[in-house]
Amino acid sequence: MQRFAPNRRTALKLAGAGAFGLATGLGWRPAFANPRGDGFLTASILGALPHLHPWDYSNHDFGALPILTYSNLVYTAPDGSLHPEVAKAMPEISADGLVYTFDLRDDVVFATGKKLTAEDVAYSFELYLERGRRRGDFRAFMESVTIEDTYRVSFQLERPWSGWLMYLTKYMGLLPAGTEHDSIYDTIVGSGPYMVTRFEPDVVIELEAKSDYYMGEALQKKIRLVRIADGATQLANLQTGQVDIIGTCPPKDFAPTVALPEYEGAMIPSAGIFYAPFNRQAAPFDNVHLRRAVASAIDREFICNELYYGVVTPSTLPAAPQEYWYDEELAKVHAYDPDRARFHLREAGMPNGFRFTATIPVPSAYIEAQEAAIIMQANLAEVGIDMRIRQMDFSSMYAAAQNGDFECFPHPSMQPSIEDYLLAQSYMCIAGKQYMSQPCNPAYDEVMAEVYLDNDQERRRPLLIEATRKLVEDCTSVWIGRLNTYHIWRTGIENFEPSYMYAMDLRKTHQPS
Amino acid sequence: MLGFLLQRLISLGIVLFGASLVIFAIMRFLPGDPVLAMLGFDTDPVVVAELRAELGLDRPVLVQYAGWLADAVRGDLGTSIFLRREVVDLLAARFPTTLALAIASLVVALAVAVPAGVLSARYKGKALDHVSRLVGLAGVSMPNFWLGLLLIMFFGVQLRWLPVGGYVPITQDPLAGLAHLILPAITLGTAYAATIMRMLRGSMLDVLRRDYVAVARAYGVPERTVTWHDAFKNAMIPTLTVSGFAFGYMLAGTIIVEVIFNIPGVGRLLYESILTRDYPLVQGIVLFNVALFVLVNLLVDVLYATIDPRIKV
Amino acid sequence: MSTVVVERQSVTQPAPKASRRWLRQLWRDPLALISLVVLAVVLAAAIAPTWIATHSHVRPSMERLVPPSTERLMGTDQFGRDVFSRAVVAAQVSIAVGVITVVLALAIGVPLGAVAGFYGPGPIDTTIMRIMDVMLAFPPIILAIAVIAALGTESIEIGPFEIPHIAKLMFVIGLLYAPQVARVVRSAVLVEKNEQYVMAERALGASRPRILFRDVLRNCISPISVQATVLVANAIIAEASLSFLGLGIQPPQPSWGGMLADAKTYVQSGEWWLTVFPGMLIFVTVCALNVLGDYLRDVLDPREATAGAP
Repeated sequence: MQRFAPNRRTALKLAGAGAFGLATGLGWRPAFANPRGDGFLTASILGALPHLHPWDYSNHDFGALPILTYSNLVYTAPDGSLHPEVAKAMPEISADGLVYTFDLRDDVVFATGKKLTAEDVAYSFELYLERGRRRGDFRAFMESVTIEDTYRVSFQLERPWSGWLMYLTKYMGLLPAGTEHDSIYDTIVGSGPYMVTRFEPDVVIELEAKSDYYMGEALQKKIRLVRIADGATQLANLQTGQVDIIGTCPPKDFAPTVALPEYEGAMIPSAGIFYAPFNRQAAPFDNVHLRRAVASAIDREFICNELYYGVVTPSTLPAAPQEYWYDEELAKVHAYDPDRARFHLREAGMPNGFRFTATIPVPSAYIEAQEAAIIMQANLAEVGIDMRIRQMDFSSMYAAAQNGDFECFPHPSMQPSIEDYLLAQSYMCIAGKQYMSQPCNPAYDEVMAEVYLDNDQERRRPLLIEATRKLVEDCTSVWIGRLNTYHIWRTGIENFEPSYMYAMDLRKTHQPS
Repeated sequence: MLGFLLQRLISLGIVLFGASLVIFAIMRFLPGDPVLAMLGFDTDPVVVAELRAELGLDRPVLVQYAGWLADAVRGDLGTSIFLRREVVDLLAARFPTTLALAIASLVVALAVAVPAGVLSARYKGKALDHVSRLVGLAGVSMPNFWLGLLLIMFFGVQLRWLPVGGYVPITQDPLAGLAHLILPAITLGTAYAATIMRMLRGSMLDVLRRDYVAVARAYGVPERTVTWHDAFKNAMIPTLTVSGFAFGYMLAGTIIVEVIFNIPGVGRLLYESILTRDYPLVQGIVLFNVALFVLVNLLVDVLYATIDPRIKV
Repeated sequence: MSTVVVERQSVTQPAPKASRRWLRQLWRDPLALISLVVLAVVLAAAIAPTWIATHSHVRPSMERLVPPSTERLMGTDQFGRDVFSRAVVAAQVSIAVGVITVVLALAIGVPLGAVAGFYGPGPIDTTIMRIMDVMLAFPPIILAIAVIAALGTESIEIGPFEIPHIAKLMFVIGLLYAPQVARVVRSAVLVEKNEQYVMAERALGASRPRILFRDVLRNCISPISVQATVLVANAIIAEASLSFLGLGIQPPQPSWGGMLADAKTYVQSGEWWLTVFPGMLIFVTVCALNVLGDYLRDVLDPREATAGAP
């Protein structure tokens, strides 16, 4: 009995053993579209389903629930584009980027039966600023909410941050005025298209379409979200017909499974990034040449395309190659080149290399960071750098990173938008807060403030490139690649696609019976 | 007997107190805390401080321990930080699953071990004995995460006879419930089947060597009667002890099986609560497991004394 | 669980000239012989892995996920590393952890169990056994995760000494097994202390510690050695499980459990060799140790030995 449980995800991956074999092997195959015939569209989620709260969650795939049950001023479509939701149109933004004014629809009804007005919007934001868990950044930007009229509301920001509109889809939900904060852990009061009919914490949530939804009753009447804590088991459940859409699967199995006629799948860039920030406050990485040596020695193509089978898109920059602010020239600065790594080692006065410790989260979300770490270790050994691995569970890891107790920290991270990554996760100092105890750069903050005047891509492009340039010059991190969202679903399911926001968006998805 | 029970209950109290102290100390000694696990990298000091105060984590550790212990004595194990439910309610919701799994595993273990052990002793040195000893040996030597995996690969995925994971309460759908329990029960039960089998065989051989058995044989008592009436009955006592231990371990040791087979029981709850540093939940589950383990052992001892009056307890 | 197997067995003094009987019996017990050979091979791999390994055990290559062949005996993993060579090097970790852990468990458990058994019943016995009960009643995973998470997985430097992570692993697993050893030793001592030679020595005025540590313990060697063999087997599984969790041996150093963990995403897509071989190695090694434990018990217990041929 002196045996220990393996970690949840790894064990379950093992548990799904041979799952792919079954898709290609003998035996029966599931019939197309809902082989169970129970009327439910069933989707599987990797992370915990602890409660029904619209924003108090830490795993990003839980977001599938608030998308179905709550609404916001604006809504981020799966492709990453912004659309008005409870607002009639996109907001009017003042020239200084500080005042946002919304006109509200007059036909929005909460699950409680109450009609939505500006008062509810103001109440929701005040409650969020008071009780929201991830509100730190939000509070640093938001100054006040003003009720202009019954159906008109305006927001005053302390400094420009147009990114907050996308942030809403991820971490917000409008509540009827007067709602007790603690009550929304157990009950849905939102104005989204679905309501919850059954909830077993961490096991299953069942939902039913609301007939009075202001944008018209959803086509799919019943949806079930089940928690399956591992990608391989999710795939096995898809193949045995228990689940119709899976949130994730082992990277290696994506392409072969999607190639089969029974299944469809898609992969798109998400707002997530796989990167390794340096601790620039302490040796050895207080020396920019050593940071550059490491950044130039990593073979990102191999890690992303071979090891992760393309579920990470290689990039030496925060932007993915297909994004509007990707800069070819900047991308070359720290491209894989062992000779340049050796050059930087000589510049640093350490031609024979040096030793450092990389802190790796185990288990990690989205991808197993440890796999990349093994390749990084080998890449670095080629130029004489000895990278040691320190594995940590994520609670310890947060504490270590916050205290600056790390040297280099390769990990995947998910954001409301990738521009927000530049803001919150990288370099900028918000309200005196230094991310991971790292030094600030006021010139960078200025550029980012200008970026966030609004969401106009043409105007933002040169500014974002300028911000990227500052990051690359200082080599604050090794950017390894961008995380993709990928799902597989049973052929015959209509209107489903992976989302830039990472969480599944099932609002329009339909499964013909 | 009454004095014995009283004494054992007092020692149960001591063990529980010791365990509570150890687990509390360990949880507070671990790096990372639930607030950081919740907030991730949003490290606004104001928010962190608020949350810490809300959860009472800003109080001195000894005060926290005293408060928790005082509540625990009254049966209040506190509220889970992440699942936001009473720890007692969560245990009540998850325990039936774990209990069902442990019982099924014990059934598997005994169903294999008793016939195999008896026959092995009865036909010591014969082919049957060798085969069952070999199987028993393989059973105790198999890392159970590996066994679970091979079972899933073979019966779940290749042959598709049984579900690869998940759980259906027996009360809700007996057939499906049973189907979901078979592979986990074999995974968990195998090692114990082997242990019990080896124990039973050893004890029976012990008895069969005794003088009174020789006397019985000499008087012409048939071998079957000797085997079942004398040897088996006497060998029941140590076997019962081992089975009791095994059951105690099964109840506390379902973590790996629950994880591999995606079963929402106490073990998986415990594992996840450690990762999120959900202090009240970890402490509550550990205390519950320790109490259960000690109680099962106590029960075994009582049974022991009831069956064998020679043992004074 | 194997604790209890031997725990309730009564112990008598070993018959004289046991060593010669061991050898004689070994030739009659093919299973034990095979086990010895298996362990010898594993031990050889542990002592001189470089002689046996065919490729580098750490360097990745482009030959990824190659199935087993004569060139690659156990195929390659997702990093293009040779599974056979890694498995050979990993034997070192498993054997070291298994043996040193048990030595540690014995060093803690034997004195505690002996003292508890010999001076019991009384406050000493009660105190020691209550502490052991607390430890035994704990789900082992909690203690292991907790201690290792607290100590970290990197090596610790204390003054001039660098304590590698593997030493911490051994310490934790050893600590976990100490109560089991203590229990077995205690019950053996309980039986032994009522033997006539103990009474005789006491009558002759020998001090109690002297009797305990010189004579009584010597006569408890049989259950202790059986228990130790089985614990080595369990410790190997424990290390594998911890590595599987990411708390064991740190990459790129291989361990059997760690190799299984690395294989986790690949088993299902048909790369069976990544899971089957490391698991099989754990299984075979542990099996051999258990056979040896059985064998030792048989030869060390004279009643069992004479009853061998009815």
